Amino acid sequence: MDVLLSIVATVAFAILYQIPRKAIIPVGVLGMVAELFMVAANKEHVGGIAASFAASIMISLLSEGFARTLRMPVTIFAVPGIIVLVPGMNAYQTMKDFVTHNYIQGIAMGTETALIAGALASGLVMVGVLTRSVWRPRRNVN
Amino acid sequence: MDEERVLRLCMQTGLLLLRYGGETSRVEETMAHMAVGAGAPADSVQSFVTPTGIFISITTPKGTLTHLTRVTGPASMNLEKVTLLNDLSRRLQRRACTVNEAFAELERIEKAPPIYRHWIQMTAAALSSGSFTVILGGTGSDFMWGALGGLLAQETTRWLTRYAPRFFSVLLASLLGALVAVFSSVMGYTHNEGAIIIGAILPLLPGLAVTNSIRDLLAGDLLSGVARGAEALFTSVAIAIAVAVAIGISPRLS
Repeated sequence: MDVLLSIVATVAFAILYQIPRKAIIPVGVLGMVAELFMVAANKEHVGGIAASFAASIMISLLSEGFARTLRMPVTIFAVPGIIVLVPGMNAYQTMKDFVTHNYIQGIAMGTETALIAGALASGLVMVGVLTRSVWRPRRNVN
Repeated sequence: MDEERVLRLCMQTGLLLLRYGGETSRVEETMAHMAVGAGAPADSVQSFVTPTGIFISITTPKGTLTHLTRVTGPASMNLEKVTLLNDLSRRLQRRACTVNEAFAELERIEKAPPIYRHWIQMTAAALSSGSFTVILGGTGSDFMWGALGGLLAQETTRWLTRYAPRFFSVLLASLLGALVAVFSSVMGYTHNEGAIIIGAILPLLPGLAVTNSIRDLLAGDLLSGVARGAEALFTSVAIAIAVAVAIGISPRLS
């Protein structure tokens, strides 16, 4: 059920950015992959930071693949694909702790949130660097 | 080759790309490629793009021609048009169309209505917020509250960005979205206030700004990368403040 909902959430989020119709199914796949990944990581008791990093790498790689096969900008896939991984609940908990004067808990939770967000960004960066150097666009082909 | 015309074509394309949400590094590359495709010698074209201004110059034996345009007005995200503009520049690059055809195509892209109409966007905002609420542990009835909050937040920013700075419109929109959650919890309709708040603010998350910022930094566009990063940070801070306010007043009401 969660998987289905994450597909809906991802595709609907992507529609807010006016993605081309042809990109809708790939974006749905990305949402599904992200959710399945997090569910699996939860089951295997992998920490949130490591799981987010791995999932972010996976989503970015798939996005690059889709972008190249469909000849569309990578952002179309990467932006909605990553949305399921955003640590919304942690960020909310952080704010809640601060507002209720539980500063120590808030700082702990805030640090975790920041690390998860950093892991997501690093995943994007890693794949970006790799594809820029390895997967160079061939000139004059397209 | 009419350099003046080529420059105008590049400038127009770059401006549209930037407004529709393309990364600045993509805009720079696209403009240079287009100029070369239109017949300018490869090393004679230089472009420099920031989120608030576009410069392009072309050097000919007669001298250097430079255009500068300030980018003003709110951006309207439209990744479909970014794709179309990208295709157009590729076609020009492989000489599959002329400068005149490119101008016509450019106007067609600019005038084209968005592929998803307003009511589809509203439905999408509601659906994504509602689904996210349930994923984060909400129940079936929380879906409705999340959807309502998301819809309200999305419509508020859409309407306000025309009149107010982005920080303010996001602040107000996320506050309204979060207040829907507070209302539902105060009236006793739900126990998952958190999930509804997060679901409701989902459409406002600066996803594109963060991704563009990272991609610009990677491409060596330090100025644009940092600027976009700051934009994303401001938006996040606005959302955080709104959520904090909502959480703060929630216990006072119940």
